Amino acid sequence: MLITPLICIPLLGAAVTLIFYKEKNIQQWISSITIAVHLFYAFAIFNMVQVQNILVEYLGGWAAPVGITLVVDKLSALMVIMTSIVMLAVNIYSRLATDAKLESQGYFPVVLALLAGLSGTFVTGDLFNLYVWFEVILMSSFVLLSVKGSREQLEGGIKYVALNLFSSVIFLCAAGLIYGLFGTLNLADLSVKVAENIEDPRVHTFALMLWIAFAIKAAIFPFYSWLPSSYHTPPIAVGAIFAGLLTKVGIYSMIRVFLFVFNPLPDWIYTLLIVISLITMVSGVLGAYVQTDFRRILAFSSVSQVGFMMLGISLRTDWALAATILFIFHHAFVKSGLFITAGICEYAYGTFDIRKLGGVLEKDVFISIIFFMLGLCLVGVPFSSGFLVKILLIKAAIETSSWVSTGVIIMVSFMTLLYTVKIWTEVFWNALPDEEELKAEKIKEREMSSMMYIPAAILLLAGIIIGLNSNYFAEYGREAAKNIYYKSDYINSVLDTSKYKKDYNFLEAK
Amino acid sequence: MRSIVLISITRLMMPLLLMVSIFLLLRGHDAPGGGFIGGLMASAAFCLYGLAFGFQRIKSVLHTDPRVVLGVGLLTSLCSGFLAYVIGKPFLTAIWLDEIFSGMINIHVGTPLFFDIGVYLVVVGMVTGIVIAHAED
Repeated sequence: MLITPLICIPLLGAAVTLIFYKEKNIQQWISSITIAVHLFYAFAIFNMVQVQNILVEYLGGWAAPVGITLVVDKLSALMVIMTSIVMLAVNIYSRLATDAKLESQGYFPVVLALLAGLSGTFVTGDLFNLYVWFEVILMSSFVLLSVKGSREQLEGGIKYVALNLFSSVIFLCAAGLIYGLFGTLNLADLSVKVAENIEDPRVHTFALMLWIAFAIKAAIFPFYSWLPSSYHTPPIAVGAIFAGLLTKVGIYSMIRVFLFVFNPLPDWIYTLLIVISLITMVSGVLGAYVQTDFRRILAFSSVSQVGFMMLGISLRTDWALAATILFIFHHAFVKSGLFITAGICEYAYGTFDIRKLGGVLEKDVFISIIFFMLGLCLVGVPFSSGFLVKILLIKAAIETSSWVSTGVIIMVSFMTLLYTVKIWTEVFWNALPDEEELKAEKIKEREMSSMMYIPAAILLLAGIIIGLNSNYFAEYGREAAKNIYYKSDYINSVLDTSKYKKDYNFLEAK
Repeated sequence: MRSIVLISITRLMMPLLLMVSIFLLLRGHDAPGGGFIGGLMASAAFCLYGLAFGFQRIKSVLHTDPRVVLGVGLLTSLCSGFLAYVIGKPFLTAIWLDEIFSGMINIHVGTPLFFDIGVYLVVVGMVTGIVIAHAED
């Protein structure tokens, strides 16, 4: 019933921080409080979803399929909590490693607007409303990306915006065509109407248009060039949000629209998607291995991890989708955590170039341990969060007799280990290359406050909790996945109050 | 460069443009118009003022920073949505005065108007903020 506060709390915070635009301290406190309240509310919603399964709210009292519907199911609840936790950790980090120019240019209101946009994306039940939230995210992330206005930042920012606007155009065209054909944009209503016309080639075209729009957002194989060129330019407080949350929006929308509404499409489409996701995995991992900038390695690693998520979508079984959902959840924490560790190394030792870093293990044991554990989670060592999601994915690949993808998953996991070990040895294990040379380049070391470990530790803790409670999370992921594949619960709850009330169980016969 | 023609025209046009923008704002909701287009019209008026007298003086005409206008607008819109919660309806449900006090008040005024005023302020704050920032560079 009460879903709108998830969107309104951050917007309210954004409005108040804008009014106090001169007082940096007040802005910091307001943004921290706002995000904490949002997290608390997200947990409340999460608990309600355990009981009621699906929550529905009709904005302005206009019942579906006429008005905008907000829907929270198990998947959305998990995504909202993920967003909130990552935002909270980054907020704590940004308080400590402050960047005066960034903050005077409106970092806090824009981050809160981004939080509103992300929450809106995850709870909306309407295709056009999804588009609107995409635009909110795009605009606020563009501001964050280019706020310092250096040459490198603008280059990354323009690539990011150009490709994402292209994706928006495709999305908008597809939404218009869908509205023209079916006369509705409500996802539940749409999935009923699409299911009746699933053989229509026009429907396949629309589905693929939407897939391309989301693939650009998610940085999947032919469209990922914007990601490595923009992720390493902004300050870490922005980069960590981007790495943790932005590509997830594309994957989430694919699950929500491509799998939930347009299912089942002809088999060749899914085979094609499997091939594309395998290419994404391999090319991302190769790109990561040749890079020498800490953040660029992590950016390319994001590409390969998105490939894993896409593979889970293309395999089309309950367990594969559960793996994707948990992969999104685990990767947001781990990758943001790794970005923050990179930020701490840069803050303390003055550079992101792993060739010029070294001996961190001797100087700073805590951050080394945090990186080590996060690295283990990323690679997927047993009892870590990465292990759970990869084992679920491998299980799904074996069950669908997709032997090539099984092999590629295992191979790419080993290669993930390679570049993680590369960072570990260059930055933490080996001694500094040559101190004289570094002095010549004026790389300065800075004192850091020990509070800076807290955000990385929070994210690591989230990863560990997932790893230790694998049974619970696997079961939860499976239930969330079932809500996507067996649509009748969702459809019945959304269209409950309208004249469309029918029995939608016939959809379950796949 | 100050142009005497532009200054004189601006003095004439400013009140007119602002009045039209408020007309558009009030006419909206059920007829063409509304907060967004009204706000754009008002920002056009402020930009004209900036062209004639210098962009930094827009702030003195607004009596505050554009960011505050933006924030207040956002707050107004959100509060108009929250009013529906008070009477136990879903967020953003329209509450009309003439429906609540039927017979006593005959003006068709309600929360959508406040929502539109919020949008109006957001647009004015956003556009003038962007224009001033560009003029500074």
